[in-house]
Amino acid sequence: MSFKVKIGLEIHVQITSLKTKLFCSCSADYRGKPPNTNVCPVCMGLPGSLPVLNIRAVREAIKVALALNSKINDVLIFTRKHYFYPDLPKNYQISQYDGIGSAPIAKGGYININIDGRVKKIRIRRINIEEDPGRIVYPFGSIAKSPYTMIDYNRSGVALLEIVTEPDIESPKEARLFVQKLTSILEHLGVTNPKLEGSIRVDANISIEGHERVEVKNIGSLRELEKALTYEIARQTAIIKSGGKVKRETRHWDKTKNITISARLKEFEEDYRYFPDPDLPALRIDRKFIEEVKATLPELPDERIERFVKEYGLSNYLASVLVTESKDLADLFEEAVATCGNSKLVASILVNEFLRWINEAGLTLYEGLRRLNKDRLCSIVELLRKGVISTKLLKEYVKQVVLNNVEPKDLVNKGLTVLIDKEFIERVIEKVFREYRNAVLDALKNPKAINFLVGQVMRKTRGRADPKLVNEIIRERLRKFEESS
Amino acid sequence: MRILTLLDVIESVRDKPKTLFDYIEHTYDIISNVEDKVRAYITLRDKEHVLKDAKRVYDRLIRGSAGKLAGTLIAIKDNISTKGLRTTCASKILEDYVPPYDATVVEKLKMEDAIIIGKTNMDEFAMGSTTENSAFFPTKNPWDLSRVPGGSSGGSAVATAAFEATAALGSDTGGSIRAPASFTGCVGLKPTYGLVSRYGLIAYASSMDQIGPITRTVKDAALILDVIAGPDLRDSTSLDASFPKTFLEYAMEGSREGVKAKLVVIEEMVKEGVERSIYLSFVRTIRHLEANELEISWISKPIIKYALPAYYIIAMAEASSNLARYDGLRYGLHLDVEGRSWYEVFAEVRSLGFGKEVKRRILLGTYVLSAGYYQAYYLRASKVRRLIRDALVNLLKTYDCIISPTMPVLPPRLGERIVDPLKLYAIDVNTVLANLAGIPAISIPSDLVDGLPVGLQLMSNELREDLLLKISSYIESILKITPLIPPLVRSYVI
Amino acid sequence: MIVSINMEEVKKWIKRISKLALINIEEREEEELTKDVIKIINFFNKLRELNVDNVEPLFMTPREKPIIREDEVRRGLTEEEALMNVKEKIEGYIKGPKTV
Repeated sequence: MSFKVKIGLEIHVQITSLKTKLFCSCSADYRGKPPNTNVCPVCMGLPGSLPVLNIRAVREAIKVALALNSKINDVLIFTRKHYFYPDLPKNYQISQYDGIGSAPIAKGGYININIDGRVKKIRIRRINIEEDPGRIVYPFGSIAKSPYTMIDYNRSGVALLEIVTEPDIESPKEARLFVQKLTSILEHLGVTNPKLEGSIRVDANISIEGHERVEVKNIGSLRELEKALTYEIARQTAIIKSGGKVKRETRHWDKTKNITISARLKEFEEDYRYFPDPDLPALRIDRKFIEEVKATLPELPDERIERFVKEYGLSNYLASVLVTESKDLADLFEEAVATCGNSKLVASILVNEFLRWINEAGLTLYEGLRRLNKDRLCSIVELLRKGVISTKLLKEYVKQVVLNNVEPKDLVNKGLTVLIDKEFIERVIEKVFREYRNAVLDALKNPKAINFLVGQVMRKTRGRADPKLVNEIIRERLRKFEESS
Repeated sequence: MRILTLLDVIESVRDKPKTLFDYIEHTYDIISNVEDKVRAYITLRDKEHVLKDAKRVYDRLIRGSAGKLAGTLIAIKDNISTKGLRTTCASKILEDYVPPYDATVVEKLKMEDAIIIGKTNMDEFAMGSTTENSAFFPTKNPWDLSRVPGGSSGGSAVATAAFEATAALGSDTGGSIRAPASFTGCVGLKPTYGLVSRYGLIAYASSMDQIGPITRTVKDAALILDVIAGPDLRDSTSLDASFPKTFLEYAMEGSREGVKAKLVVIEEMVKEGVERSIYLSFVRTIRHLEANELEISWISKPIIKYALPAYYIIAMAEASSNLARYDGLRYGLHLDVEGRSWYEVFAEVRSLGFGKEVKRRILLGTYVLSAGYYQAYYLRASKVRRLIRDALVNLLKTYDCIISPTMPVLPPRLGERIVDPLKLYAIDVNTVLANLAGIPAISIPSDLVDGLPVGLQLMSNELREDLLLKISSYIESILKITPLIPPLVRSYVI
Repeated sequence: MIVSINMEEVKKWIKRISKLALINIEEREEEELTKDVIKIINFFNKLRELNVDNVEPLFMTPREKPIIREDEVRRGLTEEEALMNVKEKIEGYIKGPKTV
């Protein structure tokens, strides 16, 4: 029984580069403001108010469409999507629709992800521009426990892009890689700042081939995405294995219980009654306009990865991780290399050590980058270059800086440096030779067994001994041994 | 003091600024005698507040820096937002709504020193043609108190006709300025769609709504249009149109110099469903115009027979969308929310707050937009709309104006039309064309039949208000019946 | 052209539409409303007489220069103005109904 998984994602991203909302001149910077202090007649849906399009939003949307290789429609049409909800001030959302008399700003396109060493293309179905609703606050914490809601319209009207994929994604890992790549593209474009809370929201549609599709909403972060998808796939698989039918429905991800819960079935069907918004005339998008925007495109992730490979001699893998993990990580890489060179080493530190430690410590990438900043990173590189530390110790340094937020020079002062005192090392070697006579005999016959002896010396010196020196001395001794016997 | 027209009042007050206060006293005097009979106003401002505003205008008059409309008292239809002044749309659901902002047209009037005297009665949310659908009370026709004044801008028309204001603003989606103007003996102008900003106009059908003046003469309407027209950065559908002269200048030219114009009558607007007395009056008027160098041709355009259903499908669809926002949370009729789900509370608020006609139109509008019916109704109606617009715009390349009776009937008695929705919708048959096509239209008084006013409608091509005002002003000067004064107020005015 | 419509069918979709539009119809209103609706739908159906296959729909009269907005912040409503017509407020928030 094959359980081929099909996942399609619906990602809503805020165009955080804008100063104002999509259809009114209120500030788009609503975070942290007291409720209902960042509103006007338009975004509050007061009677008689009318929307006026922020032209810069269109430019930003076109940038994204170009970066995703999508085909941009030659006319921009907005559509009203009707449903009643307390966070929707007009009880309709100004959005876009793929149907008669309407069109999304762009259709088609793709993003390439690197999965298991090969490149996989995830296709984009469409990109919409739409407005964000307001925010609902639940006074007693959860939706279920609150007998009423509290509504704040500060966010209402902020510009969103809805990016919908084809169901080309086949695993939770691919989903994560896709969202990471998309985030990196958006960040490199300067369109969305992923550090802002709520700037990227993901809904997923999951089905097992041959069975019904389930929508999962309320996935808060990238980490939650993989967990939610893994759970849901397991849930559906279990149903199918036991001979049951997967119900077509909408479920919510509950991150405290780590499960998906069925959203209570609404009493009525969803019929959005789309029609072109009569308050917003259709806007021509001509070649010239698109070319103007294209000329302002910055370096995109795929281009940057290629450049990292060529310019810094990095492997494709290292370059990809640096760029797609986060723009900030790639930026740190380039800043550091500009200061202290050693591109391959810096890349390796960031990808192989740094990322591992922030994961273990449960830190966000940004917190991690604050700790392992350019100065600290470069001092570590310098310490290695000067031979004060060995590569083995370097790993320890990175770990300490990330986990404990210390300066490298503090670690030097604590004595965490390479042991190059020849006499001391010789004494340790002697000890090891005595303890492991058999290993010594082995080593005489089989040079590979020397590693064991080196390892023991390293153990006894708690990693501080310079492995090269230890190796040298052991070999010399063994040779002397041989000669004398 | 001469007060028969808006221009008269402006001139009088400019010559002798002190007469402004007399004028205000006089107007309130008329109101106290007439208002409880006609009930044009939902909210009438206190005389004290109006006198305070007048003091400011007076100061500017003395200094010589007063605006174009200094001295005038303008009544505003109650679906146009006025900051700090209750705006109800004649609906229970907005009975206590006070807008925190002024509509653009109100800002413009105030900038020219017009004084807002009050908010007038209307059909609820502008849905109706007789003002009988107001949730509060009906307005009566000052020419015959047992008859309707027309709608939906009935209150504005009556305020103007009965001298309870110098002039008024109404709104027109399917004839709501022209119908009451015709029934009450006023001039009513619906501008080209987009010429006047809709910002602050509480929407009924967004692709057809327009604000326009209701006045006693064509020149009065032209001056108000000069003040309220113009592009607005807050209304995406507004137009940036420039004319070489002011609208008032075009109107003055028309009456002063005359104009050799080619007019056309579309048979279907005169022969079908039009009451005999209206038909005869219209033919008499045409003869009179022909004797004054206006060339009038007759033509048939069967496509316009489909205008009425197309109009109502589109209007109801857009209305159902525009009225979705009324749920009691941010403004308007409110019910306690605690412990109740949104769909429960919203439905109850809307069911209590909306009147019968409004509910009917919202339901039908929802239906024609719903999945499975959108193509058969809304999309189809939009296609018919294009056919009608193309037909009219093409016709108006050959002719300067299309001429017709404004209304197919004399003002009906209260209660007569409202029982049957189709009977009610049918009286819009000649007026909806201009809204569907987006072209300007004006109704001017042309006759009195059995003591009741009859209106003549003229439509010109879009953004040809210059031509429209010139020709209608000329016709007005030929017919010589404006300004009309209803017997009810005659003794107060002369 | 009258297309005969079944009373019961109409009553059913009035129920469905009233849920979509969130407008309750009382039983006593139902009878009259149903009759009116049938009349009006027949009136709408008159448009079927026309062949509109190759006609582009007109949603708005065409505009040469669209009105658009540059990305500059402008003052909106004060908190007082925004909440002026709100009947139930809590700490600056608007009190709303449950969402389940």
